[in-house]
Amino acid sequence: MLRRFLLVSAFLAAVPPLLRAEDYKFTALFVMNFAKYVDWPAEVASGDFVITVVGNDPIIDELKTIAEKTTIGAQKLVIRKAESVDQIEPSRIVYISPGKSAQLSNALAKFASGVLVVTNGKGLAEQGAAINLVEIDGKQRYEINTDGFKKSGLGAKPVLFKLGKVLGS
Amino acid sequence: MTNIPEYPTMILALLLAALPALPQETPEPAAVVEETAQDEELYGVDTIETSLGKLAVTNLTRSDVMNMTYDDLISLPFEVLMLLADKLEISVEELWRSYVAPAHRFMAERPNWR
Repeated sequence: MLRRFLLVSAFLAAVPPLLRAEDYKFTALFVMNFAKYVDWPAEVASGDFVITVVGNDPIIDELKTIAEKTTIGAQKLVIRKAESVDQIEPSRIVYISPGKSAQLSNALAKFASGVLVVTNGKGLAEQGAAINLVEIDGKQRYEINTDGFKKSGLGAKPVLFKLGKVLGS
Repeated sequence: MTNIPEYPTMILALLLAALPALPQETPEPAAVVEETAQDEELYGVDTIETSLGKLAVTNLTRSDVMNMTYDDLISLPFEVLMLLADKLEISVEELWRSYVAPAHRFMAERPNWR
């Protein structure tokens, strides 16, 4: 009977990822829009626009698909993956996947300015992430930490603040 | 091995597997409609242009949004994208169907599975 119980449990556990595929798609689209609505310093307006994803996250494949279809201004969108914050090469956006949230403090220490740190998990904006993706009442939302933005030296278009939940002073 | 009836065990497995995915609060359908309408009023968006033509945001279903391609979605303003993301909210009914239907099929196709 234990075998049957495990069989049924394993079968049921396989179902939720099917429901989450669209979430990854929209999460990736949100990140792409952060890139578009943030005011980047003039000195980084040339070359590739690099987004690095820290950790194994299905958002990587979604972002790569987006990168094939669009640009950020005149800049080519390039998606990279890093296993840890220490491995990150120069990037404009660093997306820390939920499984690597513990590395947020390292990321904030390493990227003092000019880099947008995006996280995905409850309470991470309060820990310093400039933008944190969260689920509120079953809906995909994001929090903006204004202090995190100030520290990163970045600005953003008003619509980004209007649509998100603003935290900080 | 204890002599526990097997169907209750299976139902327990279903419930346990479903629990983590259940929304914390289940809004009444009327509240969902009202909130969506408020959002659309806030964003001032009525229709969107897609490869399928001009579509009314209010009438879009979760299925419509799921079938949209990146070509449709990438060019949309962020506020519209957020409206569409809201349409992906999974109802308890859909969640229940997604769990029970595959399990039911599995058992129906294997009459001697026990």
